[in-house]
Parts: sequence; structure tokens; C-alpha cells
Amino acid sequence: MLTNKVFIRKNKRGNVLKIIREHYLRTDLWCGSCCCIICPHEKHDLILAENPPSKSSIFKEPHYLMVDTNVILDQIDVFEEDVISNVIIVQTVIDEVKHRSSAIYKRLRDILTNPARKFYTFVNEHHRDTYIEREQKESSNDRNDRAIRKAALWYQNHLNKSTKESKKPKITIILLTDDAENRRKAQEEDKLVSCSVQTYVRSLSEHPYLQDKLCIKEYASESDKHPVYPPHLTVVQMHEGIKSGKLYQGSFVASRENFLEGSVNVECFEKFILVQGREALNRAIDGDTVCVELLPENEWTCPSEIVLEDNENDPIVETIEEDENEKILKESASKKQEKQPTGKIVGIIKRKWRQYCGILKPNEIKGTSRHIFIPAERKIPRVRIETRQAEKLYSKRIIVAIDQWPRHSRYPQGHFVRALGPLGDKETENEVLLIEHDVPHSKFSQEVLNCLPSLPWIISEQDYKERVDLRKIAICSVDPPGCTDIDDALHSRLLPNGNIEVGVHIADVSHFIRPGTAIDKEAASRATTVYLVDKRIDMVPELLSSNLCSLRGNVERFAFSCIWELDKNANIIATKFHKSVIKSKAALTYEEAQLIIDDKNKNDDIAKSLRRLNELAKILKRRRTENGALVLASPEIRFHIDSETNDPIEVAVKQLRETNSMVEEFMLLANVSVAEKIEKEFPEHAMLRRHPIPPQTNFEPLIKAVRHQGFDIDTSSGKHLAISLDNIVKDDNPYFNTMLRILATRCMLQAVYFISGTLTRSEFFHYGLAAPIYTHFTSPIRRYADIIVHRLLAACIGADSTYADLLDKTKNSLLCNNLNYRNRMAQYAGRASVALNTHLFFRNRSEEVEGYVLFVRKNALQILVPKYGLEGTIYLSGKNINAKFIYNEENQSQQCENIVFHSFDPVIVRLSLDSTNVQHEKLVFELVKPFIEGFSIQSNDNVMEIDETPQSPTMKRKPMEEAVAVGSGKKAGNKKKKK
Amino acid sequence: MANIKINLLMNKAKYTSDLGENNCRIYTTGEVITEQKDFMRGHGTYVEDGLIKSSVVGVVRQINKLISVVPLKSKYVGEIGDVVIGRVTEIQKKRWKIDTNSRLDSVLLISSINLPGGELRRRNAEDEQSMRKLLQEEDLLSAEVQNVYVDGSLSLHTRSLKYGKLSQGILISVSPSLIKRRKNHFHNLPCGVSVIIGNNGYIWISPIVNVEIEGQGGFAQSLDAISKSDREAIVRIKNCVQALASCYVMIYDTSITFAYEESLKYEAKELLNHDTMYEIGFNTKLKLMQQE
Amino acid sequence: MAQELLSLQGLRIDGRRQNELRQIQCRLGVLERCDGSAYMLHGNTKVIASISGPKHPTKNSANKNRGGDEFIFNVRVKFATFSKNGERQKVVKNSKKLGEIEINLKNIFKSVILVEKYEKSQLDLNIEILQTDGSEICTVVNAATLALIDAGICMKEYICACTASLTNDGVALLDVSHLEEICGGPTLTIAALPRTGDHEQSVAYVELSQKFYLKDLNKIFDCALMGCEKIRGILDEAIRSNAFELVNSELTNN
Repeated sequence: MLTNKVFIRKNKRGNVLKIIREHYLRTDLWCGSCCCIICPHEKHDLILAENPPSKSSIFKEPHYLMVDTNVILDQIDVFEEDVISNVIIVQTVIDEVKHRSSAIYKRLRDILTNPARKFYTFVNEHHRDTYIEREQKESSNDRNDRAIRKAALWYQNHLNKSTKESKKPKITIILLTDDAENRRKAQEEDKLVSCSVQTYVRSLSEHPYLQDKLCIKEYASESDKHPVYPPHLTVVQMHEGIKSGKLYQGSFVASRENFLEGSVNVECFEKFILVQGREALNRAIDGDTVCVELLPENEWTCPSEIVLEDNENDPIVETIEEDENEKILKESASKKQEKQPTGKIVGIIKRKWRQYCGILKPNEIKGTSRHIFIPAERKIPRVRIETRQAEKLYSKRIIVAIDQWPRHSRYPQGHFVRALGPLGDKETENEVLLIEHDVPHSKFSQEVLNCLPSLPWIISEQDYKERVDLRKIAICSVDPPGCTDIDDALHSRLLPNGNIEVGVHIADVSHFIRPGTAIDKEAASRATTVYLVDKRIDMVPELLSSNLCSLRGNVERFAFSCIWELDKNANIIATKFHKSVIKSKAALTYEEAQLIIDDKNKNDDIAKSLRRLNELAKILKRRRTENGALVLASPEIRFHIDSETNDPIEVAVKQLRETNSMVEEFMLLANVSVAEKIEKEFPEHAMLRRHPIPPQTNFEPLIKAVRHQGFDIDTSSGKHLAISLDNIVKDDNPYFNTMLRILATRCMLQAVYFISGTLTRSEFFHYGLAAPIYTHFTSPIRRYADIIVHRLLAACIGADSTYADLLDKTKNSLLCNNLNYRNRMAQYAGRASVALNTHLFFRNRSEEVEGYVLFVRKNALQILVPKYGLEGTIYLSGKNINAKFIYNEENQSQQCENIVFHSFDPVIVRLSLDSTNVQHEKLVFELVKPFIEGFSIQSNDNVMEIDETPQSPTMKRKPMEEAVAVGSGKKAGNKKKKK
Repeated sequence: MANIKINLLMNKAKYTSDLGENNCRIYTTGEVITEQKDFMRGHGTYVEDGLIKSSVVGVVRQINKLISVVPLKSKYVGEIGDVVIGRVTEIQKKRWKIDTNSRLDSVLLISSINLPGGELRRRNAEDEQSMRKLLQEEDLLSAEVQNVYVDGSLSLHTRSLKYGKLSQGILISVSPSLIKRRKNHFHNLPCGVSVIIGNNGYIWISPIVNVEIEGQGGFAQSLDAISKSDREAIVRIKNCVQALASCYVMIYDTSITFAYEESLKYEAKELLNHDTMYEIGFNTKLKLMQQE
Repeated sequence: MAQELLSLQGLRIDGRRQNELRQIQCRLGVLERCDGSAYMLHGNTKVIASISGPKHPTKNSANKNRGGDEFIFNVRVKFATFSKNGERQKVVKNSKKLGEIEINLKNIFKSVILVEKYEKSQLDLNIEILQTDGSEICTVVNAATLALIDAGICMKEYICACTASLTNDGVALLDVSHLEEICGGPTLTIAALPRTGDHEQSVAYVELSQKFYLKDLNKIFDCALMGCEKIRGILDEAIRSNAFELVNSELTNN
């Protein structure tokens, strides 16, 4: 059964090595075809159909397809379609795909593992008859091509023999390859049937839409067209350049505001390397790993501070002359004070292309198949695609993949992947949102659902024995209204010695989600529950999240309890952890809880308990703030959704009560206590959460902005920052302080999960909370990190067994990376959802509201509208603007005649939705007050908001001195430390 | 030009394969020989859980109730009366230590030798001091096993004129199991070569010397020049013995004579060629079989 | 690089299945000038073992032994300069690693050699590793077993050694190659006395390259033991065919 072949490989790792590895060739690898009578197949090996129906107009006879590596790499979208089946993928191809692109490999693997698709893997590299050795002077690509042909030939002969003996219809092997030379060799030397993918897909006459998915790569020379971009360096040149220090490698980040600007994050530079202009950007797309060359210092510039959008209407005819935008960019950037290292991109090391959501731009030329695709993500350039179903797609959100970006093409070229749904449709838009933020949102697979406990779920005697019985204690939960996934509950009671026992009870999700099961893997991959305005994408199936794990009132539930003994001053005397059975006495909302606390007449257990907790929480909060915990702000709003249409009908800023803070404090306390415990028990393997101290450079915009207002801010430490923020108050502008906090929030870094063994103790610090150690323990229903922490804690107290991966540092670090990524994406998705609903809200209305100038840009003002938590831009120059603004760089202001705009100045703007372009609705900000001739618009008298601002008339002249009374925005804890 | 020959195992197989099957049971290490309790365990066996098991790889010899396993290859295990060839390794008080290819060095007591001149008397201190005059370190000698000690080491004697120091000749070492026990281990072959086949696997090949004339009690060393024809004959015999050993043919006077006759069609140096060796070994084997 | 140790089709990197050994070839009596020798090829791991003795103790080792009557067993292991995948490396003499291997081997074999038969004598085991490709210790142990048998040393049993590893999905892999050692999880090396018949196997030596979970132990252990048994079969066959040749010639003459 074994044949031994030793082959020799040369490996470059500093020096040339001769590597000898064994390579066993087998005779027990079968062909996987149902029509085969030669191979002794097992049932589950039979994948390829006995008589595959032909859908092709060229190849009428039954056939199997075989493909080469490039076909899979380029056309994976086509192969993901169910139409294509009965395909043989040889090991050579799989290995190469794996080597070249792990993303495509994963997709290919999904296809291969789905038996319904009838894709068979043939391990040709280990088959005695199909293994070939690389010949002298043969490149490895040629060798692989030959290996594929050899396998195809083997199959053809094998099947011929089989079908002849069994008198079944003959089956042809069709080798699909886009390499003409390979095709020629297959046809001439091996007498195989071979054609290009295009030819084959076009011949599938019943499935014309497949053609749109074809990735068309031009292998032909590009010389006949005028190149728009300079050529990229070869890999070797880049390597040498980087080695010699002339070139730098880094990841490219496109600017969100200016499509002709981007930056490259290079490790050896403290600052980003700025890249400006189309030629300098040289076809880099956000996320790519690129190779940059630094310009000489006299050509260095600084970020242009202007907002540019690609609005060209000319998709087909390319303008070769330097366009208007670029001129503006050059001018604006040329004379700046602080120059930044500037460079140009000379090559792409690794593309990070994915599939993009967006819309098709209507084409003025009817009937053409060439179109421009506008991605939803503004960082991504437009993509040129070919489709025959444009008419149908105009009104839809579609997904497109980029194939290549040749030098002569202004835009990258791509192909249509699929349509999501009609434009403006809520479902479609949500889908876009989820896809763009890479949120896994498919339904839970049957495998996952099989892991759920069967209903009715009964607590057994054994469970009672293993857990502490807390059913008699007055435990209650406090949550936002409408919350169904209740993962925490609280209690407190007086102890005989005068101390207070406080308990935090967290849903025992790890009881239901056992390590290594399908449900565990799924939850680990989802990492978090994602909250959209009108939708919740659960991390675990609903049965758990809203029922079995949710600590609902008056039902017995499993909990993981953290019990403290606190003295009157909220000092911890003792801490213990155990698993328990609880029966929550009431599931309250923040409002209800507040009412109970405030109602002096209520004196039952729960009321007493809540009051005690509230008192302690105040002490805890004060102590925390004294230690330097930051109170930050971000504008947060709530939509009231029409229950029938699901459209937002009202917007309100989220209300905050004492009880919010009360719950938060105890959750923080629990998290810290648990973090200490697991870190002590597993110093190398605890999953913790840290919030890195932001570098001082991050605070620069904040310091700058504050200085113009005549204040100084100390950002040297968290504590100083907190004190400074408390002190900088403008009596005439109460929202000023909130805006500062909003700005301060933007200076922060993201808090991240990590494994304790990977960092030093001093790096554990949580900056926002001023806690030396922190973790997430309190929301296992909606966060996977908490599940891991639960398991660790359970292992600490001996309540549960450990398992291999729990203490695997590398695996858990990878898990952390995923959790961090998903969390960030979930946060973005949530915000995008709010933005989406704001759009919907303004669909048929316009409103005049107070706003504040957040930043003054060279050609625009950025406005924050606290009422809607919205941020928008008012352009100060352009075609239809007559007013002349003078930009003062010194104190960051814009002046038009006698009206001056500074940061933090209050304004009144009108918000409306520009629906002229059905595909691309935009929220438009227009200045109402102060009134500038030829720029501002007339106020509508019938809009209420103006009347609510009593001082508004005086604002026209001296906006600086005027104050506007505005309700304060949310002053909640920083987003990251949401309980 | 270098004459390189590569020898493949296959060539050897050619000569061994057609020698007919011999279904002799081979016991390997750890294999149970018998489950019956009433046997005695001998050499090459051990008892575990009441079973007699083999501790070496070899064939079982049963003598009445005594079961032993004879290993195919092992160090020499001496028996009284064996003729051995040995090399002096050390001189101690009243004794020589002799390497005889056995597990432990053998001893040759000064009282177990014939004194030069054939004197018969008690050994005195003077004799002890002049031991080195008789046998030095690295000297070769032939002797007979006089006694076997409890620990397995041998005591030798040279109380016969045929034993004694060896002077000019070639020593080859083969596995002791290849030596056939015979009445006589000293042979003067017709080709003018004397061979002493030690039971311990050491074989001494030398020109024929007349023991009677020497009369020195076997401790004289003759360093006379030896004629070329004698040297050639010695070398040929040596090569023949090696050929026999490499083909696992039992070594005794007949087999050596046959091999010698067989080798005459080749030059002496050609006998070093593995193919020729196998051929000679094989043909000798055939001849021996025919003789039986 | 996280390479998959076991592909979807159930093949390992070199094309073996999960419970297959690499190709093993061995020969006894390869060296003429010593009392017993063996050459062992285990995949690309190549080892020569030779035995000298039992013999009268040399003065040197007798001194070390302080004149006792015990059996002296010396083991020397050497990696050839070219042994590591064709790359010429400096050979470290008396390194800690080698010393450890030597002591381990000594203990392994002392447990099977019928020591009482070799009182007062000395046995030298010399091992030269010519090429390495994973599972070196096993190959060394197996080669040494053959050499000892070739030398006709009395032993209770063969000692066979084998390795096993574990994929990320918890599948036990038999006989770990160098590549799998690098990419993979824990490697378990065991040397066992795989007795035939209804006797339980006894284990002379176990070594683990990293920690892993107790629940996997049985799986990986059984896998390695199964390997030992397979190797025993291979060794037995080699010994028998070698013995057959010898016995044949002897008997035709006696």
C-alpha cells in the first residue's frame, strides 16, 4: 500500500538547504465517481454523479469538470453557484489555493465539504499513478499544470474503462483553464477536452446571470492604452528596497473624507506617512499592505483638511488631464505649517480585497454592459463592472468583488457577485450594514440547534445539590425596558455584624454552552450580540438568550454568583464565588427601580435592598472618580420605532437615571473582583480586558481646540484629564463641557481583550476605569469573552473541569483577536444602524435644530447635532455658493464678512434628506443661523425648534458671545465600559 | 584506475535461496518455549510466570529435561577440553590473562604451562619474575581449556607440546558457533599450511613447523623467512576461511580443504571479491552435502 | 505556519493515514568487527547500532565502577555531522541532550537484559545517528534491540519504541515525522515490551515533548502502543529471516 518517494526541495532560509521529505504514494485513493466499477468505494466517497446532466450548449455529453488553480482563485464566485457541480478538485489546486489566499481557501473548503455540491477532492499528489516529479528546468507552476493534466488524463482513462465495462454513458473530463498554453498542451498532448472558463460559463445558456460573476482578467498587454498610473515595482524590487531601507512596508488606510488622500502606517515611523494624489496613491485600496517611497523633505505636506468626494459623472471616457479635485488638493496642502512625512506608493505587497456592498451608478449610455459601481464604504474607490442586468440592478443593493486594477484604468475592475435587495428597503439596508461590518448573521445551523437542551427544561436534584440555593433571597434585575436577555441580577442584605452582603448573579451560560461543541464554536466566531436599532443579532440561539439563560422574574434559573461582604463605606471585607440557583423576584426597568427607590412608602425587601445598593454605588462611584476614572461622553440616542412599519417615528436622547449608574457600579465591581481572582489562579492564561493609555499625540486636537477657547487641559494622566474636564466649564455654553468629553472620547484607544501571559502586569491597566486589572464577567449572554471568563472562574473554584484549549495561550490570543475585531465591528454596525435610521427618520421631513461647530475645516464646517447625535458637514465653497469665507489657520476659524465661526460655536441648521438621487440619499445640513447672505437659507417659521431657543435673534451678529440654553446630552460612562 | 565493486545483498541471496528449506524452529527473545512445568531451564532461557521462555534468538536444544536455546551468534562459551587460541592481555602474579573471545578473560596459570626444556618442578619466584620472557602482552598462543570457573571464566593449560606460543602466521576471527567440534583441531593441510581451529572462533593459519625439532616447549619464536609460495598458500587458506564464514559454512578441515580446492581456479586476491566468496562458500556447501 | 496535520481526506502531510507507520527497513549483522550490529531505517531516520562485548571490563570502566562485580553497560550516542537534513552542523560532544538520551537508553535496556548473567563483564552499545527525520529515540531503541539480539545477549523481551502525536482536533497520529514534530502538538515517545499473546504490554520508558490534557492520554498512548506492536512484528520478521539464514547453514553441516 505504501510506496516511498523521497523528493528534494530547496528552501531559502538564509542559506540553501536540501530538504528531504518522505512522500508516500498510495493505491487506495478512489476516484469518487458513482459510475466507477473499478475502485472499491465506500458509500460516503461516492460524490460525483453517475450521469451528470449537461447544462452546456457546447458540451452536450455528460461531463465532469476539472480546474486549475487560477480558475479557483479568480472565479470562486462562479463556483459558489449551485449550477456548477460534478467538479473534481485535485490536491495540487487545493495546496496552491491555500498557499495563495487563505480567504478563498476557506470558501473552497466550504464548497468541498458540502456533499450536495458534488465537488470531489482527488488527492493526486499521493496517488501512485498521478504523482509526477518536477523536471529539470521546469517551473513549479508548469509542474503543477502538468500534474493537473496528468490527473485529468488519469480520470479520463479510468472513467472510460469503467463506463466501457459497465456499458454506461461515457463521461468526459473537461479541463477548465484560462492559460492558453496549458489548454493547448491538454488538447494536443493529452487529447483532453479543455476550454476557458469564460467559454464554458457562456455556454451555460440557461444561466446567463453566471456571466456577470465571471472575473475577467486581462492577461493581454496594456500597452495600447494610455496608462493612468505609474507601474508597480516587482516583488524582487520591493524586497530589495525594503531591505536596503529605501522603501517602507505598511498597511494603507484611505481617508474617509478625501478620496485622494490616505496614509500608510509604517512601523518604524511614529506618524503615518501621508499619501496624496491619484498617482501617489497608485491603485492602493484601503487595507492593502503596500510599499511606499518617502518623498524628499521639501515635498512633504500635511493633511489637506478638506473634504472631497468623487463626483465625476464620466465613467466611461476617462479624463486624462489633471482634474479639478486634484488641483484643489494641491493648493490646499501646499502651504501648511506642520509638515508630515509624505510618500508615494510604489507597489502593493498584499491586497486585502474583499467583497463590497454598494450600488450601481446609472449609465447614460443605454444598453451597454459596462457600469460603474459605487461602494457603500467611502474609503473604497468605485469599481468598474460588466453586467447585462443593469436595469434590474439599478434599484438594488449589490455585492461586487474587485478582480484587478490595471494601469490604464482609472477604477479597479470587478464583477457582480449577488444582489441583496431593493434600495431603501429596511431589510436590505440592514443586510448591507451587517455585511459591510463583517457580522455573521446567518441563521443558526441545525448542528448548533442540536446542542440546545430540550424543552421543557427541568432542574434536576443533582443540579440543586451542586449549586448553592439562593431561591429565597430577594434578588431582582434592573435593565432597560424591553430587554429580554437579562444576564445580571442583584441583591443585598444586612448581615448580623452590621456589614452588608451584596450579590451579583450572572446568567450561567457556560452551563449550557459546553466547550468544543458546535454552539460553542459558533458563539466564539460571532463573539458578541450585535444590536441594531430595530434588530438584534444574537450570539447564542434565542432559546438560551431570551429564555433559559435570561434571569427572568419568578422563574428558577442557574446563575454564577459573586458575593461580597461590604462594610458601610463599601470596602470589600470578603469575596466569594459560587454557582447557584436563583429565583429573581422582579425584573425591573431602570425607571421602575428608580421609582421604587424614590417611593418612601415602599419598604419591602426589594425596596430596601435597592436603596442599600444605591447608597453603596454612590460611594463606589465617587471613589472610582477620585482614582481618575474618566467620565466621557458620546452622543447617544434612542429611536421610537413604529410597531407596524418598523420605521422610526421619534428620536430621543437616552435618559440616564441613578439606577443605571447603580447597576453599572456593581457590574464593574464584579468584573474587577473576578479579574483579580482568575489572574491569581491562572497568571498566564486569564482572559482580561485592558484599555491602553493613549499616546499624548492623540490628545493634540483636543488641546488645540481647548486652547482657542482660552483654557488649558492636562492630559498627562487619566486623573489629571478627569480633573481638567471637570474644571473646564463655560457658564454660557453648558453643552461645551459635553462636547469636550465627546472630543476626549475620540482621543481614546480601543479597549481590548488579551491573555494575561502575553503582557506584563503594568500593561493590564484599564485607563478609562482607572482599574489596574479588569475583565468582562457580567454579560455572558451577549459576549463570548464572558463565557471564557466564566469557565476560568469555574475552574478556579472547582465548579467545572478545565479543557485543553482553555489554557492554550496561542489559541486564546487568536480568540481575543477575533473578539476584539468583532466587538469593534459590532460597535460600528450599531452606529451605522443609528445613522441609517436617522436617514429614514428624515425621509419626509426637514427640521431646524441647534447644532455646534465641532471642527472648522478649510472648506467646511463640521456640525454636531446633539439632539440626534448626528454629525455632518457644511461645505463653505463650491459651485453654488456665493458667500466668500476666509479661513484663519491660526485660531481655526472661518469668517464671512463680520460673522466668525469657531469651534464649539452654536448654530442652527436645517436637516433634510436629499432624495434627488434615489440610489444615494444624503442627509443635508444647511445653515439657518447665523444668517449669511447667499449662503444660509431662510428659516421656516412653522418649525417649532426655533421658538425654543429664546436668544436666537441676537445670534446673527455676535455668535461668540451668545449663549444658547440647550439640554445636556448624555453623560454616561464611556462606551467601552458599558456594564 | 580504482577498481570499485559494489556488492549487493541480492548477489548473496542468489546463492542462499536455492539451498532448500530447512524447517527448523527458531525461537526469538521472549518467546515461550514450553508451558510444561517439569522442564529444567538451561542456557538462553529464563522463567517467568512458570513458563520457560527464550532469552536469545536461536534453536532449542533439549537434553533430557534440560531445555536450552543456542544463540546463533554469541561470545565463546568454553568447555573443558576445547582447543582455543588466545592473546595475552595482561600479566599478573602467577598468571597470564588471555583474551579468548569469551565474556571474561581466561587465565593461564604459570603452573599450567610446560617450562622450557620440559622441566617438571614447582614454580619458584624466579619463574614468576621471568614470566614476561615466556609470554608478553599481545602474544598469541594456543591452549586447551582446563577448567571452567563458576563465573564462566576459563582456566587454560598448555601442557602439551602442540600448544604454546604462536609465531608467524595469520589469525582470523569467526563466530564461535561456526566451529565444528572435532577430535583434532590441528591440521597440516596438503598445501603446506598448518591450521589451528580454535573452538573460540579464532583460527590460526601458519606454515608447517616441525614441533619435534623445536623442542622448546612451545615458547620459541621462529622468525625465519617464509617462502613466497608458502605465503600465498597461507593467504589463500585465510581467504577461503573467510569465504566460508561469510556464507555461514561450518569450519573444519574438510570444509577448508574443499574450499581450497574450489578456490584454485581463482587467484588468491580474487577471493576477496564478494561474488567469488559466495561462490566458493556455496560450492563448498554443495560438496559437503554430496559427501553426506 | 499552521499546517494541517491531517487533511480533509484523512491523509497526513507525507501521504500516510493516521495510523500508519513510515517505511521501516532493518538489517542485522551489518558490521563485521563487532559482536553485534544493526542498521535501521525508519522513514528518513537512519541509525547504526553496534555492540561490543560482553567482554572483560576495560581498566577505564572498571575503575569507574570502583571494582564492583556488577554488569557494566556503556551507551554512547552520536549524531553524525551531516545528520540534520543535509545541513552540516557542529557536533556537540557530551551535550546535555545526548547525555540524557544515553542515560535513558541505559535504563531502558537494563530493564530487559538478564543482568545476572553478565556479572563482571562489560557491554558497550555504540549508536551513530546518520540522518534524522523525527522519532530518533525510537529508531535508536529499535536499532539497539536488534543489535543486542544480533550479539546474542540474553534479554527478556524485545524493546520496541514508537511515537505518537495529536492533531488539533484530537486525532492521534502514529509515528511522527520531523515535519509533524515541528508543526504539531505533543509528541509521546514510548518504549514498550510488546508481548505477544494475552500478556499485558509493559512500558519501559515514556517521554512527552509538551503538556497536554489527561483525557487525550489514553488515545495517544494506545496509538503509540499499537505502533510498538507493529514495530515488534517488523523486527521479529527481520530477526527471523536473518536467523533462518544462519540456522540453515549450520544444520546442513551438523
